[in-house]
Amino acid sequence: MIVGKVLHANMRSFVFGTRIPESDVPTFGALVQTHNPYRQSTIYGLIYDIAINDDERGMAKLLSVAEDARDQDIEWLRNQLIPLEVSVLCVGYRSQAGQPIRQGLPPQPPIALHGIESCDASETAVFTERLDFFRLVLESRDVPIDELLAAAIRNGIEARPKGRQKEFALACGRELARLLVKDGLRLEGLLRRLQYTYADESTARIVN
Amino acid sequence: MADNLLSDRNPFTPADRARVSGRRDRLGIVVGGSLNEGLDIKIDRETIIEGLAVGSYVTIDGQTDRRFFGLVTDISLDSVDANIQRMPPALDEYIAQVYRGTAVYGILHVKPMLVLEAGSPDPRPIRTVPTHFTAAYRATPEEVHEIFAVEDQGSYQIGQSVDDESIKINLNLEQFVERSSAVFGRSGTGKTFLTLPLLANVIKQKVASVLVFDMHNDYGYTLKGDKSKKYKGLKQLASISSSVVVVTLDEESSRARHASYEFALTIGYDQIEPEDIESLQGVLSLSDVQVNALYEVKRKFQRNWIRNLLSDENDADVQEMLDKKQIMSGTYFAMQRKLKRLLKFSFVKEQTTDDAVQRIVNQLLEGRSVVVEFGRYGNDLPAYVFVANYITRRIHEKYVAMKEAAEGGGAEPHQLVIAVEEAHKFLDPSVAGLTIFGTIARELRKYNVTLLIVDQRPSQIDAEVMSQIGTRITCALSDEKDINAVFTGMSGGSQLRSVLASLDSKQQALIMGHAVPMPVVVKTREYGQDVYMEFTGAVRSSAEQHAINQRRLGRSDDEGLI
Repeated sequence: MIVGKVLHANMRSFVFGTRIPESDVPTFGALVQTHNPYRQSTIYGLIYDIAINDDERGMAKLLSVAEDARDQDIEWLRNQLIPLEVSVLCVGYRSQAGQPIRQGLPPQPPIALHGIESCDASETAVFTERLDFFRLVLESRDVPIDELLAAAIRNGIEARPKGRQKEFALACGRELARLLVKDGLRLEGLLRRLQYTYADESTARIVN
Repeated sequence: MADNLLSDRNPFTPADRARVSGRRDRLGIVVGGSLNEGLDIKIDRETIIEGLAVGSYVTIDGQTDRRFFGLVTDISLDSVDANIQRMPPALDEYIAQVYRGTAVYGILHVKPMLVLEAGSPDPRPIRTVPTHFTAAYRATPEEVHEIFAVEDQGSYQIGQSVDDESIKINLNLEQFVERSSAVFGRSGTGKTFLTLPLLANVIKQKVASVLVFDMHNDYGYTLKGDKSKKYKGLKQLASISSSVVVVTLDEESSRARHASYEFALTIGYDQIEPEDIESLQGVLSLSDVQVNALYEVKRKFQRNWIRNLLSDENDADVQEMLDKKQIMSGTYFAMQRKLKRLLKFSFVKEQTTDDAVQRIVNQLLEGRSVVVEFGRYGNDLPAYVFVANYITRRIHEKYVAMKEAAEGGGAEPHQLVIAVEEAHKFLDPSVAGLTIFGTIARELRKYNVTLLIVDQRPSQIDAEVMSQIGTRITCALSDEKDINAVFTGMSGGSQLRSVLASLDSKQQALIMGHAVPMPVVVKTREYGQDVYMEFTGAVRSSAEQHAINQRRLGRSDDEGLI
């Protein structure tokens, strides 16, 4: 399902606009993809920001301070075609259908107004079979890195059957430990975000 | 819980491996080290570190068909970042599991010892190291067996591997007697229980004759164990009984102990040489001046020198010697006072027609072994040092003469091993140069005479002597100085310190040197019925069978022999 269209992009990230029901908007840390029909390629990214903008006239600002704003005015504003702007960090690509996913920057950025789709659980599980994208996230700028990683890992955990969740959580933790071994406090903070996010069948402790 | 963990997660613990023979149990990968300092192996996170032990064996696959064989000398815990040790994370099960094997990990320190080449039956000494990231495995019973359990002519099963009791560890007796050897261990660790069957096998396999200075009357007829239990001495082991001659210094004690003996050893005054007294310099506190005076007295009185020296009545010749200041009177009388301690020994006689040493030598040259029991004199250090030096010096002289004659076409003297307890009394740095034992230890196999040193204080033995010891069998030691001394003269030996320090206080020994392919920790065999069987043939006596039946029925042993 197309959830939005690319507004602008660069090699590292892109922004797509969306105007779908609130319940269908992809969440922070979710994996999305955009296909390039000309090159048969797919770019994967992690949502790291969702912005709600005012319309050009600044109506939201005005209504937010108006003492006697009516409910129908607020509802009217909400029904205007003002998109949510969702920022995505590029973390991987598939150069052609059937080719393996490579975790790294895509050779080209997404093209404007190409559709964006949410990745479902099985696609998320396939993408997170490799964890090389951790490094891309850790090296990114202007991104809430640790929160993004934790959210992406949590999504990866949830995308797996209960019997494999702990194994995946441990693999992610160990990859983080490898990458952040010289920054013990940060590593510990990240791992704390991952505690209790998986079903541990060995101790029958169901979490999350 | 821990046991379950060990078994479920890492089923190839030492005990289990015996049951799943042949499976290779990966431990980790080589991450550093050197040939001299040993290899560092980063332990896999799946490997339960508690299931590892110093003294275990490790094989490392080389890049070619080689397998490197090494000994675990230490196990340590390390971390990538030192701050983790100073400020460990607040742990829960998840965080702990993440950290283990990544940020924190175990390191195995392995001393590489041998190389097993594909297609070659014999392991070779190591001259290189495996490269980075080669996988290390716990050695399989087959691999350990391939190295240590080679049974050929002259091998003796001294015990089993501590890792796996199904693996026999053999000692090459011919190489063991070829150079001086040592059995070290603090009191009560079973040195005698280890040494006695070892010597019995040397005798049985006719590898060498053995002369034992049996300070505590343990080797000849009866070996005293804990709780007054008695075990068979060399003379009671049927198949070698006729090859063992027991000589006593104390007939009264032998009779009281009902210990049979061939003859009593006596030493006549005129058989004593100044060199025999010189060896007592330490125990009698003789000064250098007094020792020199001994030679002067000997020169003056020849065969009667001891008789004159010990006489209370100064004859004219003595007075003349003192008057001429050939010896100062103070020196003379001090020397006399000290040597009078010899008079109390009943085996020192004014007159004897017996040449006990020649009788002992004859027995040794005929291929028999001799146990010199000291009776009550075992607790008298001057007596022990005096007799051991007296006999050994003369035997050594005869062997040197025979060896030289052999070079001219005469008969080669039979290899001789002299077993001496409390060896540090003869090999202390201050006296090692004076006693014949120091000479024998240094001369090595030149004259077919070697030592078997049995001692609890290796730190008190001269370093030069220690460096000449071929095979070292070391039971538990507690003193740091003694532990360090065991490795004197061994290249890379210090890496084995932790192996030695971890030995059980009973029935475990670290063997290293000439008679084993590489250092090995053994659970030594229990001396008793099973060993007796090897010396009695297949048939048990009715009394022995009765004792076995009693044990099987759970009844207590008699006070007598088991």
